Amino acid sequence: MKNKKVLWALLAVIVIAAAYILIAKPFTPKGDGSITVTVTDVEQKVLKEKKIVFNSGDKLTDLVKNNFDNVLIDNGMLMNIESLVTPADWSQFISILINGEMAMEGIETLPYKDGDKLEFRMTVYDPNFGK
Amino acid sequence: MAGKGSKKPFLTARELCIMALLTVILFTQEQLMNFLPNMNFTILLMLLYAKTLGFAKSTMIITVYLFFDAVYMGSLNPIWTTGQWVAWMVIPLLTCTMFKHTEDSLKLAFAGALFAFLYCWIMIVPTMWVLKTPFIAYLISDIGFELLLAASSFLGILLLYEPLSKLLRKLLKTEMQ
Repeated sequence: MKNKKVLWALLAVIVIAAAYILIAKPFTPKGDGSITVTVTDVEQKVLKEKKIVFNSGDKLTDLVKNNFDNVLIDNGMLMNIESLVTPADWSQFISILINGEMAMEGIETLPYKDGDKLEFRMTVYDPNFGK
Repeated sequence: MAGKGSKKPFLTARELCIMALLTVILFTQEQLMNFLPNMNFTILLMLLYAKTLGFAKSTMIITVYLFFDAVYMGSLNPIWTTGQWVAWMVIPLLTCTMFKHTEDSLKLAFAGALFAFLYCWIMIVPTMWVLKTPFIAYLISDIGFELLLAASSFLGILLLYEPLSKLLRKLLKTEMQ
């Protein structure tokens, strides 16, 4: 009887170990690709970074809304995301960088592909920019 | 000092104190073992309490424990907490009916594993309701945690039920003398 209990106890330990391995292994849903999205403040401090798996046809705006909090897109412009809030006087705005380069299109039309790195960065408005 | 023929009260002051201590043990062990996901002696203790104290008293312990646990963990929610109460109440309910005459720790260990799965499956309903979690995704991702709770409860009951049961019965018997 005691041997039987020891065997069952050993089996339970094996199940515990197996369950630990099962939950420790990160589960990544399959998709057509993934992008890394980072939200940084005005001092370029990373507030949140997330790897997002997408399927072809997924809209960038939906991916961002589903994976980040406090997302506000107004008239094609990203106004708020996480703790970043565009001030009413537009002294700062959220710029979009794709693979380290300033994006040429807004969030609603910006094309993206597997492996792209997107950054939403709070940027101080410079009235002399481009002059 | 009760006279001949007088009824024993449902709850004596000493029993109430013991029950309060048992509730504290139930709550504290869960908090102490929080660093291990879904591994604790909660099911072992609930089964032990139901076996030694009976359905009514173990229900009181579970209800008080759940209230403090929900307040402490910030999960006090009418849907979630009610679901949790129903899920935990399966333990005294089945222990005091189906497993009333079972004292073999191996059989009780299997009962403990069953309680763990039942708890996790019942909790799918309030989780989906409150967190709007998709059913299949939740079910798949929960398998590992269900196995952990079931296996740790199985192991705990197998190794600790008999000595703890003897100890608690002795403690409760001392009162009677």
